[in-house]
Amino acid sequence: MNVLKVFAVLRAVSLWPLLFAFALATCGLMFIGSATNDDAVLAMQSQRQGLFLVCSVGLGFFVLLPHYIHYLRGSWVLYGGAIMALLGLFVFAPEINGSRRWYALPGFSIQPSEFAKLAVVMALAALLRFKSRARTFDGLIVPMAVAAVPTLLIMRQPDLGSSLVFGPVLLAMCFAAGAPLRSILAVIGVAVLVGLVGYFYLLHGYQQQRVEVWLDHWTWTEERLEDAAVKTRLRGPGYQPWQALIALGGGGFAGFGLGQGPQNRYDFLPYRSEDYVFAVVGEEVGWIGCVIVIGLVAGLVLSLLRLAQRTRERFGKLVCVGVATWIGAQSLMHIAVCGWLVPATGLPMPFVSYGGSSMLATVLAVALCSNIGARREPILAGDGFD
Amino acid sequence: MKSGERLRLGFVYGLLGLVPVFLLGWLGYVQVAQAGELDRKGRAPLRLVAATAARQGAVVERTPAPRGSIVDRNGQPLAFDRPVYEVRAWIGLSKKRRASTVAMREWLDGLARDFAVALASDPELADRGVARRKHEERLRKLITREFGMQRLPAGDRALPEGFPRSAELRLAGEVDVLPVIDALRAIGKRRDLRGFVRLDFLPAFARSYPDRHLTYGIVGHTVTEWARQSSGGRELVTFGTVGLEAANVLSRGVGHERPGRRDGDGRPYFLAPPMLDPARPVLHGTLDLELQRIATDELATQAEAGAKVGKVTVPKWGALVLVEVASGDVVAAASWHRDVDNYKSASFTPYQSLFEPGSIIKPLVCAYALEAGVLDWGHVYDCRPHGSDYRDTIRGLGRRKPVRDDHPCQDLNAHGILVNSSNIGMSLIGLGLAREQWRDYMRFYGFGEGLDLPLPHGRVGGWPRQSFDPSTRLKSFRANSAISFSFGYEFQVTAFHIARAYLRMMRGQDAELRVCRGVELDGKWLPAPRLREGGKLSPRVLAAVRDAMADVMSPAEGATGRHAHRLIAREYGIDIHGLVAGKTGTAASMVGIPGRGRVSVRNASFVGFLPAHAPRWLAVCVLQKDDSARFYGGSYAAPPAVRLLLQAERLAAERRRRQESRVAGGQTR
Repeated sequence: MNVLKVFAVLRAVSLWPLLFAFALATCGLMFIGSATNDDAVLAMQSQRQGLFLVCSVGLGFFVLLPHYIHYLRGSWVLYGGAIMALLGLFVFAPEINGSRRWYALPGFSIQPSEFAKLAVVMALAALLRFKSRARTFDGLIVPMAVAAVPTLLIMRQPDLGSSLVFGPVLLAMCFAAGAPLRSILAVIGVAVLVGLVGYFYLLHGYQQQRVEVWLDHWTWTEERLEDAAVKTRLRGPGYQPWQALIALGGGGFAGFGLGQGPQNRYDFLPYRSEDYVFAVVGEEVGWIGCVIVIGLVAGLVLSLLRLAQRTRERFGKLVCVGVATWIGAQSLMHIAVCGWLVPATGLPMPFVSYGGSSMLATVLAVALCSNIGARREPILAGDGFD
Repeated sequence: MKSGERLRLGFVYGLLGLVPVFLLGWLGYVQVAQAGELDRKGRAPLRLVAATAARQGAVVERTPAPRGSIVDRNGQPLAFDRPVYEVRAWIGLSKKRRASTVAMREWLDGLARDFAVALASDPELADRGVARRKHEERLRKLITREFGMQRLPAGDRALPEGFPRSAELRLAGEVDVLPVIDALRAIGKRRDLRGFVRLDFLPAFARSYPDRHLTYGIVGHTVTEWARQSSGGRELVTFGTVGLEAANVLSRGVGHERPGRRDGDGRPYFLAPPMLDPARPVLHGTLDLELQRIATDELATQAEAGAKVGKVTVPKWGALVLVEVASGDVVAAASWHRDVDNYKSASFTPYQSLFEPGSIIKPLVCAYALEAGVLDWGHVYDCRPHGSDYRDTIRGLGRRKPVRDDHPCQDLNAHGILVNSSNIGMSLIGLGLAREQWRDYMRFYGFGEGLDLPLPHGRVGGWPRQSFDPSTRLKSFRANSAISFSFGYEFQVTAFHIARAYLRMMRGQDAELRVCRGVELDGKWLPAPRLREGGKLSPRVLAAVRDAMADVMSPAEGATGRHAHRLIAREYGIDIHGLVAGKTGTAASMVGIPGRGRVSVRNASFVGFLPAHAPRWLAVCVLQKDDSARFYGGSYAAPPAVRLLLQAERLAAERRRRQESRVAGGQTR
């Protein structure tokens, strides 16, 4: 590819998704810095996150250059690689906090489940780009299986939060691919059934406890906080979401100010740069800050969907829908976890939470969408693209 | 784009758009509209504010309260709180150590060894090696328990699920030696332990007892235990179990709050030392530390000297008490036990060891009988064991056990009976008292009644139930109880009971001993009630008894205190006849001893006061032996008591002189 072509592609790239993503990443750096500033062990996280961002942007640039149809061809290879990487975790990954999610490499670690999300989006898009496949329920069985395999593997790590992202992505992509409503309802029915069976047979004891304490906390009052049973739960499975809820509630309209939140400062908020970064946002910049961050997420999702709307080629369209759903759903689930609107589960907020794999995967996904947005010519099929 | 597709994408937009709108609305409701409160129908709202966070994370640990001080009658400290460190260690296991239980055990053992070395680095320890081994053994047990190591499966394997990966241990409770603190801090700063061992030095208090060996019984000691709170938590509570430490006034305020926070991993860290109570109570005891030292030394010396007499063993226990007659204050109370290393766990003999008093009771009987008008002080009794009085009066009652005197007595009046300590003579006097009068006698002198002292676990003593049982025939009472009571048998007392009885004889039937002169509470001086006088014996009765007791301490042949007289004359060159009044006693009893069944014991006892005709000091000494060797009150119990009386008088005179010189010179010398 010559330089002129590169410039032509870059000129055609829609800036909005990139701007929103960059704004979110900047917010992330700010709040990771605020959350870890006083911590001797975690103080390096904001610098490392900055490094991850720079590296991810660099790799993302190269993702922009080839025509995205080449990625279509490599979708299944990528999917297969992701599955192998997920399987390899059970053998090669060390156990950290009771789960095997990361490959430990010198100086950093890799979380394959983040890349599996992108791989599944691309695989589903490759599968559903044929309209005929989406129109019958039978045609949806293979996409369901494609999503189910990494879901189950991630659930076994165990990482319930990450595995839950695949559901909305599958539904949105199927729906966007033209699946009839009854097929979608059938998929939802199957998902509910699997969820019910999974609750009793697949979830670990501590995950079930998180659901129980979430159901129980709606009845809590000031007086009940003094109950020995409630106190025990607050020290156990309810500790993290309860501290996050207090942080959000305590933030008020404008928050305590950056680095001033008591939950953050006094180390009450666990994993505050990762799974509970939005609670830091709510505590330190209040509701106004939450509006801004959610607005940025919404802006990113809308701009990605706008790309999908403008793309006539089905693979690109579906990839944009899938990435938008992934980022949107994961962000909203993260916020819902921080507000204890759903049972507690560890899920990073895309672009905002600390984590190199998450940053790289989402930047690559947005870069891929930008690539798709930059190629507006109709694609017939097959080769012929450079 | 086809309209159908546009509609579908629009639907996806809308659906995805609804969720953030809902979330923003909910956040606005919680953060802005409700300002951090979640409504609960008909109940108090759930407050999600910073204060809730602080409360949730707050760690409040109740520490043992500083309990105030106990001082002697001259202001010398007997018990006080001194600031110390309580050292706790948080120990976490690294991933590497968790991977191998053998490595984990080795590491924890090494840690216990290092801590033990640090704790034993007090340069003043007599044997640091022994101290280190004891600490190491204790810490190993503690670590084993906290990490559940006794449940670990054998062999080298990874630490199984369910076993603690970290633990907090209380390494030591009362650390106040700088080298120990430095050694522990050095461990806390070691690079290889960084992140895995954290040491907290928490300010606390420890009870300190200067001259501890002198004050075990009367001052007592405290116990600090974890007690369950009504709200479900636990707190450290310190309370006194025996002696003055058990006084309620020192127990006020169960502890102080040491505020802290709990970090995200649930580990507590403390923010401030416990608050000091600016007005801690001061309990002023009646003890005189100097006299207490003399009493303890005298008693121990005398008791241990018993071993040198032939085949005889040392006494089993002893008690020596000194009382100020004007106030009833117990100024010295010494306790001694044979074969007891830890006096903390031994009984405090002056008020916890019972004995049959024997002849030291005789002046009390005579005084009561004289006051009651049943005794003619000049009447002469035939005190011969085969005399007409004995045959007609004592044997005539059908008493099975004969009444004997240690040395033969002839015709004696009451004075002579006391000087010669004639049991036959006393029996004849005692038989003059009616059963009701004997009951009144017991009540007057306070036998069989509590001592009304703030000292828990005191023994009351008394007599067998049948003694004053109305169903017991009068003749049987006279034949057994009345005669036995007359020379101090068939009822049991403590040394304090005897002291109180003589105090009552001299100061009236309401007189009580005091071990506490008063309390300074919140800066206010609250004195203990003064000695009450009421139901006094008449001066002529007291004079008669005092004269007789003064003659007991004469060198005359037959006087039971002649051995003490001779000894003191030899030691000090003082003629105590007329200076010290007293009464000796020797009683042979059968008592139950654990592991030995019922054995014959002999109690050597002595009661004396000084000066004889205007008593200021009253001393009681008891020594009990558990064999039948020769062991008499006059030769064994009297000397330490007399020496103590003399020392008390000497010290009082010295202090008076010091006081006078202060007034004269206008300044303390």
